[in-house]
Amino acid sequence: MLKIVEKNEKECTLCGACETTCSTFYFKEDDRLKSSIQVLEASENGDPVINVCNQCGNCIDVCPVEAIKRTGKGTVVISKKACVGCFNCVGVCPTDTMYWHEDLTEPFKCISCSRCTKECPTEAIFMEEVATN
Amino acid sequence: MGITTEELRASRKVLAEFDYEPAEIEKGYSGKSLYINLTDLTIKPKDITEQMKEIFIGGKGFGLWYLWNAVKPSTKWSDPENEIVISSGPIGGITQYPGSGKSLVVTLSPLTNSVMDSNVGGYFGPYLKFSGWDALEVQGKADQDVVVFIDGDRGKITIEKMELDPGASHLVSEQLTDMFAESEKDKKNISIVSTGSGADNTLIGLLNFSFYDLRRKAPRLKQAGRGGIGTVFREKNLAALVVRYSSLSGRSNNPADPSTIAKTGVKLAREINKFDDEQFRMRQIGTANLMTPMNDYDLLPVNNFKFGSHEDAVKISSDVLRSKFTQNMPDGCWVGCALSCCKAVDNFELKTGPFKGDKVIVDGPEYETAAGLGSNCGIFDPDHIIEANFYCDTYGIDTISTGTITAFAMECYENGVINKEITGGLELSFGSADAAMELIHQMGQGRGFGKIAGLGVRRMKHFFVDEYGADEAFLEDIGMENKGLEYSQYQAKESLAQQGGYAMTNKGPQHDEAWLIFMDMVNKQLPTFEKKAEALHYFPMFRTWFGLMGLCKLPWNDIIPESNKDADRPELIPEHVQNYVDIFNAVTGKQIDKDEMIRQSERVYNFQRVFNLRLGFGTREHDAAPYRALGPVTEEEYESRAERYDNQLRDDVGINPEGMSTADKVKKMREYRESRYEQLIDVVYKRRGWTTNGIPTIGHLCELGIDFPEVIETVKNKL
Amino acid sequence: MVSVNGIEIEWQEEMTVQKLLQIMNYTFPMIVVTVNGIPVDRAQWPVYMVPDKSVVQAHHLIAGG
Ligand code: SF4
Ligand code: SF4
Repeated sequence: MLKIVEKNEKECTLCGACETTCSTFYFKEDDRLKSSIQVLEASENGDPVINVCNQCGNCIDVCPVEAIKRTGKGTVVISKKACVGCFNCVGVCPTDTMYWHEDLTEPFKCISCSRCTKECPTEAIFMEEVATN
Repeated sequence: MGITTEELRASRKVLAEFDYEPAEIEKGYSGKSLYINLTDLTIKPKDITEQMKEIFIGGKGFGLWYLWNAVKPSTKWSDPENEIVISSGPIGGITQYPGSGKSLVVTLSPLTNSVMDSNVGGYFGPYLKFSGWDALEVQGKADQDVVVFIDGDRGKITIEKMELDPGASHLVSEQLTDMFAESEKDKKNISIVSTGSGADNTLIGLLNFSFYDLRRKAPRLKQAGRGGIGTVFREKNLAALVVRYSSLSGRSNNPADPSTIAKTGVKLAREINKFDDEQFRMRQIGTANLMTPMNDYDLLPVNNFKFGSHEDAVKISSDVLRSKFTQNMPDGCWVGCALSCCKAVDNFELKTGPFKGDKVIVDGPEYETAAGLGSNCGIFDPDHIIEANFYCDTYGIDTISTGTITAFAMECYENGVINKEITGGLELSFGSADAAMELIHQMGQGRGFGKIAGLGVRRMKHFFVDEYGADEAFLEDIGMENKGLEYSQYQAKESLAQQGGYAMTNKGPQHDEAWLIFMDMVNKQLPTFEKKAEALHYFPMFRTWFGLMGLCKLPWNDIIPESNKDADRPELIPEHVQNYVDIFNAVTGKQIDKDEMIRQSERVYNFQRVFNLRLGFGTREHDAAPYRALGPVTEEEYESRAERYDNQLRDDVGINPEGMSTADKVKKMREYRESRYEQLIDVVYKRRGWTTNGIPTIGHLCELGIDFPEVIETVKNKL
Repeated sequence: MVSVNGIEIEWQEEMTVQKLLQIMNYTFPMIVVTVNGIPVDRAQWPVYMVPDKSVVQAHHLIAGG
């Protein structure tokens, strides 16, 4: 019963509430570059682009120290303790949603906690159940 | 093999111990090195001076400096004062930039009697540094087999004896990993340096550096293969070196500017992810991706470097080897190497030898191994190559030397220089896989003809001449060694620049200084002597740099960035060179540029040349190449590429080959090629700042800032 | 005649870059091609015609084994 953050980019107003929520909760500061969901202005059709992990798990296979696991619920999570900060997972991520920040030794990613979706004023992001394999 | 982990643990007896507070790592250095003397069981720390960091940088530079101070001009490889020095380098151990975990090993070689260096993966070097030691020097000789254990977690070093059979490296690595790890999880924090019985029985012994593969749940072995370092290790009665360090993080190397490192590393990791599958497929096949192109370009050594391709090479092509390797594993020899070239064959059932029937993990085969143990011996059977690879590693003998030695023996056999009586029944003709395999077992176990083969090509030549009256000139022509080291596995006949890239090296004919064949032979980028000399200056210097830093060469040019399309000099891979400059600065907080990078190498490179000189080598005569490396020795070789050679006689030499006998053509071709090689030496020496005898000039040494009194004195005596 | 990395070979009708590389047995995965100084993208190889008397550079991008 995997839930992921889904998006309806048309509705996004670029207010940044999701970014603030995420980075404030996990890093105790309001810095959009430390948010696991990041919103970009430009896209070809004019809509904003919302970058957030779809829990595909490609990163799991490349981690040399097996620091990335899929939880029972299907979410892909990093064990900070095990991680050695090599960023191989960042390099391999097909959606560019395994993030890194210059202040931080380890990468970070969305763990489907749903906090951001609750703060989005336009329902441009929401939780959705997807099939797991 | 018999002993259990508990029995092994119970048999441990500490002979000497030393407690220490691991030094904090500061900008890539711990500032300390560890000295161990096995004769009197001394364990003591030394300070790394600022001057050492400035001039010798780290890695191989530190190794050379310590070894220089440890030995005398008369020291032999087997003397107790010879050292094995292991050091990674200031960049070694960062996890963000692919290829940053190498260890450099330096010693006096039993093959060359001069300085040897080897660049090897596995976790030992980085863990050693993070345990507080930029370098480890091992001197002296123990009176019984000992294991040295460096516990970076506890700050404790012990020299111990135990009931360990040091005969098979894969077992030694497994047993010691099991015993020293405090839990299953702790295994990844252990790295072992070991070898096998082949190192006791030959002069081509290697060292295996382990890393624990979490997915395969077994230690993997990476080889410091060249020059008999493992033989020195066993001469000292070392059974193994063990390090344990459990706090690895992205900041263990404590760099000055982590953000630049991360940025540069992520950029490269993305590049690899994007382009590797369409470029060299390092992640799928590793260096064995070269098998097919080398054969296609007539560069794959066949039958002791007689030829460069073979119709059966399809049987050991890149794709055949790919099908043997387990895919989609993060096969990095250090954490974070996104290029992950260390492929392995899993569950391989051995058909011969002491482990017959066992299902094992085989690390590799890499290109050199497949070419050396395969095509160069006329053997085109992938399973033979894999089996031979496994046994070479576990016996602790170098696959490259083993390949070239076997190929040489086979040519001698086919020419009647040696026969079945001499080989003890081995039918060593090209292509005889069973005989080749048996020869490996004989070398590994010190039996029969293996005892002679294990001495290496140079000594075999002398032995065959002295004992069996062989034609010395012929053996000098076909014995593929220079300075006593066996050639690595590329056919260099059609690239003059590469002939120099092999024979004008510091340690002997290994291609790690320069690989110029495509630039020279295919792209025709080096048409003049001056251009060749420039390449034979730049590339050896540039590539020396990896060994000062603890870096791997592969992520430099085995992945090509997009920017290379517009680069002025694409062969340099300018974007990656800049990455290295940026990373060095980001680790150390210094400010070098790409010219200073070459200078850093030039210092160490010239120092190594002088070191050779000090030991009685390092002059022009030692840069001579066997003619097999320069051109066709035999009529058979000439005829096999007659059109090519005839054209060269006509166009390059200015002789009309029509009506000439093949023997005459071989002779004319030889005169031409040998004189070209001599001309090349002249130009290269000049470019490197050396005399026509290959000795660095005093002016050049002063300019480089390595004008230490003993260096100058060494040079003065030889000028 | 076409010159490829300084080697003269016979020109043929319908000679694409791809054909030319095949004739030369240039199988290496990383080659940068210019025809009379003009870079030709890999994607264009099957269709890009090499005129007679061209000077072709097929630059193999490997600096090291
Ligand atoms: S950065 Fe951490 S989680 Fe990502 S691959 Fe490296 S060790 Fe694994
Ligand atoms: S490219 Fe290969 S040899 Fe080099 S560091 Fe990576 S895994 Fe090791």
